[in-house]
Amino acid sequence: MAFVFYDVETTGLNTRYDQILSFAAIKTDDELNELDRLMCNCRLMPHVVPHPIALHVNGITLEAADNPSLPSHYQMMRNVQQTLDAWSPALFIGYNSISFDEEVLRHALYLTLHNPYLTSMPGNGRADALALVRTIAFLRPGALTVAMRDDGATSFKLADICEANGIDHVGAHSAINDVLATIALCKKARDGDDETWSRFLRSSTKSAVRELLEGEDAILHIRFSGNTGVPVVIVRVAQDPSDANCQLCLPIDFPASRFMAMSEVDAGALLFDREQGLVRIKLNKGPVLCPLYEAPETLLGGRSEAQLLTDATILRETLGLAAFVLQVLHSQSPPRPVPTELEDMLYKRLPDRQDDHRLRQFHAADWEERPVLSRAFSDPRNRALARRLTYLERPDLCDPDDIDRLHAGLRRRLVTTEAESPWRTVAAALQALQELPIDVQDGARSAYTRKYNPG
Amino acid sequence: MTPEFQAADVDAAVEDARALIQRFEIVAAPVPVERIARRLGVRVKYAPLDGDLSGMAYIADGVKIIGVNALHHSNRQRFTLAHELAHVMRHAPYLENEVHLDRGSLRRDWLASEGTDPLEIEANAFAAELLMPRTLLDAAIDGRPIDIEDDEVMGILARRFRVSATAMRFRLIRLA
Repeated sequence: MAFVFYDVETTGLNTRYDQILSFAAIKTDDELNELDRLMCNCRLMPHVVPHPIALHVNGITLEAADNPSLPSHYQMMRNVQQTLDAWSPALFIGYNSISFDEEVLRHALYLTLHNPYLTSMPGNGRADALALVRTIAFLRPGALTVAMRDDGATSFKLADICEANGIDHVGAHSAINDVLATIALCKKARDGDDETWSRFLRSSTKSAVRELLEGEDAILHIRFSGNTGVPVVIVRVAQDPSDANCQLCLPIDFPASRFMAMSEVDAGALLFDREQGLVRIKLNKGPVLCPLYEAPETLLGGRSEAQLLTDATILRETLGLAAFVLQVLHSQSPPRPVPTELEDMLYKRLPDRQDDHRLRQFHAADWEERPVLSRAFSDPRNRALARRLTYLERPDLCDPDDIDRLHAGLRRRLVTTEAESPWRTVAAALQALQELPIDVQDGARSAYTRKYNPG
Repeated sequence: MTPEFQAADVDAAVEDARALIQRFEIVAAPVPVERIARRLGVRVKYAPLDGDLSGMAYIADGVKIIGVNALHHSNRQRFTLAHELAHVMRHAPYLENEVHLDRGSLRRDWLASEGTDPLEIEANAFAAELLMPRTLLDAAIDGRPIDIEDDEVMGILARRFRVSATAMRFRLIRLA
């Protein structure tokens, strides 16, 4: 078992509708020494319009991203999936990865008919080095140097934190350079504060986080709002009925008696209050949790562990509290939109396990056989994704009825005038050219115009 | 030079575990094994350990350290922690000069208590008593007849003590 550090460079910040252009990963041993590495790129998909700023930051020109000699997105993701699978079991780490790279990777795997949950399969774990750095900066100031921006605010950008800590980070925003920098930063964090490092690794699996939450009557959680850490002692009250990976907790000072006497509307306002209300702990997102017996006394609000445990028992045993929390949550939560686009359907429900073997057959078969194989998929998302993949990879093998519909559907991504489209249209990208530095605007505008508005 | 360990003293290992249950006034399952370890001054470190390595115990600069595989299920981590705690408590002279590594599946670990390595026999007996103290187990069963083939009952008991159903079965068989 080992660590896998990885990073993606993408066409933008939309984790569902943008795509990976460059992927890098390094497998290390448990001392963080490199054992193996993977670096791969792919070409732009025809229905994805890159954000000009994303290309500028990544240092990838539109012409380079559109190079037909590059592997397709599907070919790159085959390589990524096979390598990461071969490197498992492992603990997957990136920088700001839980909210970005992990989501991008999951969607890329899903859209290419692979198991989207590869990094959180049993035996694997996942953790975010940004959370580690923020936690150390909060708990053990001095173990790592916090970067300061010109305006005096703290910065946890990878390039800034590396520079502040004397870590060589040449070529920031190249996937492999960001991976190397993240490994160096983790080594520094481990050497500076091995207690937090150990706790960080412990929170990398769902079962361990569940054990922490359910095994302790109260626990210290450090919630980050921007770059500011807020310590809060929380008590678990219920499982979120709409998310098996989410535990519902309340701050230990939650005014339970007042809450129980409220109308559902008022109770909802209190429950959803960011400062006083519900704390949702996602078991699979490496939350920063610290048992009270390990917590620095300065973060416990002047109360002893024994007092906190007594307060936790009183809160937990408030008659009907958990049931009322669930009732208010149910009645006051906004309805979830029903997804209509494939990109939005990953979390609609878990993958149909009946398709596991059929998907392996699909990837192993010649393209000529795949249209027939894909008709046997039991999950309708897989059937639709297979049709799209076939259109992108081998349009000559598509059903004639399908090809026009698929072409029109993906073409709509570029030209739609819908004000609220979830993807980036050509018009939006052209508009965003203005955000580029003046000296590169003309070149980028020419490239976008050549590709998208040749007439 | 590391002294040679002659024979397992299972009764003494069990008594050590019971003493901890009493000392830390544990009156309900699950037993807070990590809290106990920390209170004893043991440092617990989590890491994605290599291969089937479940845990390790060693002493560095006089500090007793237990390593636990961060990628294992939490029930297995609890067993590992209890098992390694036995090593640092009972077998310290054998840890002064070397890192003690523990490999193998939970099932093999439990079966090892019937094996031949006296260190492991003691550590497993200690872990079983610490995680599933006889007193708390008797209270949970409350005199009812238990069918160890009944997956549902085993699951309920295992969840209550935060051990695997396999570990609970072995424990009940041994106590019977």
